[in-house]
Amino acid sequence: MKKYLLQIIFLAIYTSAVFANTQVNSLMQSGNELYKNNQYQNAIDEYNKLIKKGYEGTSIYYNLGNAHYRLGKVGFAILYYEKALRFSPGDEDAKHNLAVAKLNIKDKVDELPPFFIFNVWEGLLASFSLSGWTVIIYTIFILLLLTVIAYFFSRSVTQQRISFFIGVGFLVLLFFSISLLAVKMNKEFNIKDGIIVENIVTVKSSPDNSSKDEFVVHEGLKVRLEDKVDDWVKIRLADGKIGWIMERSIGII
Amino acid sequence: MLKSILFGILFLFASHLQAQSFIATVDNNKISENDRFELRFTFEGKNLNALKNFNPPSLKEFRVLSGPNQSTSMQIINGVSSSSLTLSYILMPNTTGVYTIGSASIQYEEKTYTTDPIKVTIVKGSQKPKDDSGKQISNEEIAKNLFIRATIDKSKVYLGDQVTVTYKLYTRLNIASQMSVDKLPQYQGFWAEELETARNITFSREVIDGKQYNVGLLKRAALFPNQAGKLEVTPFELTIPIQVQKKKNPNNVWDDFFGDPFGRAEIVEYQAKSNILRVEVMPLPENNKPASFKGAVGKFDFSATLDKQKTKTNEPINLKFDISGTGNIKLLELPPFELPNGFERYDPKVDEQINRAGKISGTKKAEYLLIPRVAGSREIPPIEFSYFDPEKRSYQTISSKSFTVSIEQGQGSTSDLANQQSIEQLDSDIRFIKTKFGDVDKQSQILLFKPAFWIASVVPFLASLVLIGWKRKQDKLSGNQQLLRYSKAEKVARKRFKAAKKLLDQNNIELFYSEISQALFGYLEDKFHIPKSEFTLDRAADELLKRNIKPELVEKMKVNAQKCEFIRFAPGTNPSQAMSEMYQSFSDVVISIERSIAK
Repeated sequence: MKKYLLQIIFLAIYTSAVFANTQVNSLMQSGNELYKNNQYQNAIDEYNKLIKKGYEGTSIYYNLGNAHYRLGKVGFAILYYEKALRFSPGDEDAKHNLAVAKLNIKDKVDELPPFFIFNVWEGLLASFSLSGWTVIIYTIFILLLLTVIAYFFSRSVTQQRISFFIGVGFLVLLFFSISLLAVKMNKEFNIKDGIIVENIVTVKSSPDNSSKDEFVVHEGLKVRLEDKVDDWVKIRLADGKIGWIMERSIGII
Repeated sequence: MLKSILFGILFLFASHLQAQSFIATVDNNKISENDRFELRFTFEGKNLNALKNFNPPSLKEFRVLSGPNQSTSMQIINGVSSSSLTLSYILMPNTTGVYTIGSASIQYEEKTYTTDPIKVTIVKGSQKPKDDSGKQISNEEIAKNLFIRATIDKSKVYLGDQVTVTYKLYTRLNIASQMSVDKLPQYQGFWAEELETARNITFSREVIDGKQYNVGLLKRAALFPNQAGKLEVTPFELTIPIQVQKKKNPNNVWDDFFGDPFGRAEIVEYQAKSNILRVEVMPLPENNKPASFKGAVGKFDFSATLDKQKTKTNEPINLKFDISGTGNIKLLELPPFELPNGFERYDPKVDEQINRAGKISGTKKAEYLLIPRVAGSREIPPIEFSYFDPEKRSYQTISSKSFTVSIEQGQGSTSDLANQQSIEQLDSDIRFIKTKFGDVDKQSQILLFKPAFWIASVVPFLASLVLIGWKRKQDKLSGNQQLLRYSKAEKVARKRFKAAKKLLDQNNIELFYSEISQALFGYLEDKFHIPKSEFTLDRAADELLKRNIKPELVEKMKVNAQKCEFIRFAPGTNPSQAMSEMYQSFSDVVISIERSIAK
């Protein structure tokens, strides 16, 4: 239900822009045609043209992920599915394909099982994108204003009382979702995850080719990016291992 | 280097001359720069225990490789016994030139013996000292009579096919003692497997070019090339001590003197080196290469068996592979096979038996544990094993039959065995691309940072503020402050009651009645929007009746109000009791009215 509502809101916001844009349609369609004819590389080129022009969206990243998966580039496939999910965290197809692509990951990193409350929290955060949360907050805000107005315009005590309690409810909801948004924004801007896109990458102990080899990671592994020096990025694995790799061997979600 | 002088005999002679002697000798006084030499100090006498305070000369110009090494010996010749103590140093020169090794001294029975200084000449390079040339047989001479020969059974093979390399020692000389290995051959580009050879070398006779040789097998290895092209095997190097008949040396006084009647031999350490082997490795033909070919070369037999045809879910069955034949068993890859859905496969248990005599052969057995998870009848497709037969120069494929397994529903849930992962429930392929792309849009700023968003939030906020402000102004203008007062009424009344209660406790009759009547009247004024100027008890009663409040309650209110007015000016005999009664009835009235209105 929520999802549909959201989609309707999205649609309302974007409708004008979409209908105006025939270029997107033609490029996406030709990309999809190439994909159907198993010309995956050409399809990727076609989709990338759109991205170069500054377009983005769930479907474009999802389709890119599919094309890379068909070419056997699991790392890139995972990267694009993650990107798609960043736009619409609830997308079933993207979730499914990501799970399938992840079957091909060689590395198994033992993650500490998170505390269940964090799970709930993470799930809540992931259920909508940044824009989704913004729209929700906006909706609550407008509803709150309406109840405040209703309070002042009410003709009887009961009306006043009802609108007062509803208003308090909305206020609590508003504060809650604002804090969620703040956390989510912090996550989006300050915490960057990446996917290893090269087949085998040797992780170094410092941003220097001559430094010691720490460990080896394989394509498709999700890592957290923590720092950057020249062409090197510092990565952290889910189990806490830390090292440096060349920037080109990683794709940032 | 070579020690050509037997010192024991040398000093035996010396012992004839004097009872005690202390001599310094070198095994060679013309030494090439890179050679080592031995310096000995030998004392001969009857009682070696009386020796003390050995004082060696300075050996600064040389590097001492070892020493002082001490050895003693005792000899009885012609009834005369003598013992000797030798202190020896192995030295190596640092630079060329002529050096003098100084005197050494030793004390024997209160007497000090010293040696004469020795002059040594160090010459450049590996030039042999003159003295040696005569008495040593040349390396070439030895090489003619002793050599290692490496042979291979074929010089052109297919990738992965076995080449056997054999190292044999040919000799016409006597080998003095154990040989030592300097360098093992390097089998670069091969997988090598040592073949079994006898522990001790047994010699047989063989005639080459009319010369008879003793031939001993040193080493055999099976090589499996793992890269195509021309490959080389580096030589096998051994140091072999051989006994060489000592040649007469006309310059050596001692030789002349003794005449060497027993065929004295010396031991020469000879470094033998085998020949380099070259093998040409042909790549396997590309045409007709079966899909199941995994690099097996040789001649093999393959069979696959399943231990059970019938099983229950979660009860394991065994799939056995049996590969036997000649070829590189160790590197043999197990044939891949497909399992129908619903089976779980574990890593196989592999057992190898390799026979290393001659051609490498053997068997490789693998046992896969399969666990059916789903009931029903399943078929394992035929398993193919392919190999390349170098003799026939073609690929051979052996195929097993297919297996049908019927699986009944067994006990236990699927989760109690091994960890079945959620992976199994997933489809193995990705879903199709999205054909609707309404969401694709220009990369835009986040909604939150768009001015439009803030305008869209601030405008309704301001609008509602304006709206509320307008409404309140409007209410004021129309004198409609009822709502405000209405909600205040109860609060004010409560406050007044509280104050009245205080006055009651203080027994302040006057103020108490004024406060309590104010509480009631104020409440009624506020509640029913009666302006203070128009307030009368009857007006209040009318308003109450208008709001459907019970007439009894209205009556009670009226009576109490009148009673209050009366008592206020004419307090009775027991004022405090009347006060508390009044307080009680007034608060009852207000509470009752409030309750009936709320209904």
